Amino acid sequence: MGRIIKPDEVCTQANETISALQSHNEALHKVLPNITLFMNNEVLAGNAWNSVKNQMSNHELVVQGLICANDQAVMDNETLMSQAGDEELIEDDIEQAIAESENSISQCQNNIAYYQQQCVNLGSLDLLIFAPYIEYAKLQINYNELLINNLEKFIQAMKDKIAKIDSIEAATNDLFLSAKGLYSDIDTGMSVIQGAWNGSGFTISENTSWKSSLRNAWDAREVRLRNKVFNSDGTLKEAFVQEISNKSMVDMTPEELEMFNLMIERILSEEVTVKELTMVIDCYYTPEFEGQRRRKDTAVEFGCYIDSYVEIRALCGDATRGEMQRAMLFNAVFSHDSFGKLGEVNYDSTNNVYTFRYSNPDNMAPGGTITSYKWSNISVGLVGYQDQGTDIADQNGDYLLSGLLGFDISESIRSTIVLKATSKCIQNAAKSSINQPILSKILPELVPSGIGAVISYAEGIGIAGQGKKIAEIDDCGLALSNLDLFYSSAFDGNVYSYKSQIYPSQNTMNLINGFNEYLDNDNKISYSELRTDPNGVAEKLKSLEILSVYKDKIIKKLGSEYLSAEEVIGIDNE
Amino acid sequence: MNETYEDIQRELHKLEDQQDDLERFVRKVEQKEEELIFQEQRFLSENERRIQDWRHDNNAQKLLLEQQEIVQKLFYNRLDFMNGDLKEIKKAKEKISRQEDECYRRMQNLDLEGEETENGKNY
Repeated sequence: MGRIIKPDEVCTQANETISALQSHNEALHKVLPNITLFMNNEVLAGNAWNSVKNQMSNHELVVQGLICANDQAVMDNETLMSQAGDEELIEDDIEQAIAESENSISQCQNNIAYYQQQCVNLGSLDLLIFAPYIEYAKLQINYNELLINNLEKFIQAMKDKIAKIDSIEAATNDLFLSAKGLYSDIDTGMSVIQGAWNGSGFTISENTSWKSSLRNAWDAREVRLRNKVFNSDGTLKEAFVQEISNKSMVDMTPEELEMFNLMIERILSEEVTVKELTMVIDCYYTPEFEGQRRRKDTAVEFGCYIDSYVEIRALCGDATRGEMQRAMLFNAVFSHDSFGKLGEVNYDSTNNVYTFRYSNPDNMAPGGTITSYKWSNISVGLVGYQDQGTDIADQNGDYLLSGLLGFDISESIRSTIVLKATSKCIQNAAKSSINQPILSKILPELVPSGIGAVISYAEGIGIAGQGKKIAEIDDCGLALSNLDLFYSSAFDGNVYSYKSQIYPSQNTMNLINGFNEYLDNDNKISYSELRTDPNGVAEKLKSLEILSVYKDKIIKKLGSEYLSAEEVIGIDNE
Repeated sequence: MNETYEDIQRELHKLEDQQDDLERFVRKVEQKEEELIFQEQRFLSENERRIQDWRHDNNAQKLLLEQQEIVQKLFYNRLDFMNGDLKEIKKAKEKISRQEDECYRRMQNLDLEGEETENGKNY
């Protein structure tokens, strides 16, 4: 009794809650990589470190649990909105309408009975004078019957509303129970974390039920997201790609961004099929209209994002040639703002290039005399250079940043790099541009820990800083040097080169410069030496006893913050 | 056959009964119809409020508008009856009154023409 459903108010409140939860999740997602970085650091070994790592794993679980609970609450709020429908339902008003209608029916029935009795009474009098009244009474009976019929329909309509309230109540009764359970487990986890410090280390709690609950929730969440993105055979779901292709990264929820990243990972992976690549391209162009298929606005950000995604990997030394080629394929295809017909993607294993067939819009104009269309090809590959693809670079013995520092810094790099607004992917797409809101969405996705100082980081073949430091910054915080990262592609027979525009933050540069400072002081290793005699360099590095001290100190600082140049020098002088 | 005093008296009684029936009927009808008019006016006014209350629901509003229309028909039909046929019925009373007067007149005539008998006058 007294139930009230006001969809406008429900939706306003639910939307505000969803927005707050999503913003909360966005922040939580940024925390996870740093914890993972710390926990995966194999150099930090021993009982004390393991105790800290165990404690950090609890933190990780709590963060994951919070993400799951917030996700669940978001879904529940969405269910609530969809169930609430679009009609305001106030049970008391409906009940009152039913009671009033029932009362009216009762009056109508009394009136009918009265007129019927009157007809019987007057009929017995057998007076012609009452004939008009009998006619009138019959008409009144008819009208009253009509009114009863209508009132019954109205009562039924009102009862349907009560049934709707019942069904909404039944459908929403269990909402938020699951999220509530997770929040409760999170509370338990928080208590465990807070009580873990025993004065000299972290004790391992025996209370683990909250852990398995949150772990299961996280696993279930991953399965749920993967099921949305992938078919059972692991290929991309066209429906998902089609849906996400209509959304700018600016408008994506954290969950959608995660699924978007799963899609990007699949596209870059060696397992991806040319059929999937064709399908993704197809989704990022509009359906054919008057002989033209136009690039969706989201295609430009997609190209920018996948390109930056791979560039960061390349810089860190873990991008394969195939990944770089596939990122370039999308850049090349999405640099065209329109096609007539889209063909399919093929891989030419002889020349190690991807090709993509298309037809110009001019050949497709409707009503024209041209009835057949001419196919053209875009071919994309890492042609002409030996050291493209860091897997190839590794084969050549080139040391990239990870090689120099002796451990995997991909997460560190990823967390400190910023990209210039004019990312290279739009160089060949003159009509497209990345606007500031989109860029501001892309950057945090690529640099979850924030934005560092922007410094120039150009590349070039033949002018790479041989004999120079690998990278350095000037007084203004601008970098002076570069690494050999070079892309090229071919459009209709023309080869285009891309310039890398990656900008490590000041902290990253400090790390590198600090190391080079150290090398300068002791046993400097030149860049050419790195390229020509990597094994010799490795031996040199190993032979430097102080290196391990220096490295340990840097590593110990990782997970919290990077060293400033002064700190690096300070450590060096210790 | 000649009309007797008793014949006229019977007719007069019958007319008086009719007159009474008619009077009762008209009184009852007027009372009831006025009661219904009040009831319908109240319904129409409350239904205006309901129509406003359910304006967001097309189906409910349609049904309520239909109800309004039916009750208006009832109401106007009732007014028509009271201003038309009921007045005619009331007029019938006058006709009966005239018939009664006629009866009295005929009785008077018999009084003038009749002979005295043991039991009264023979007409």
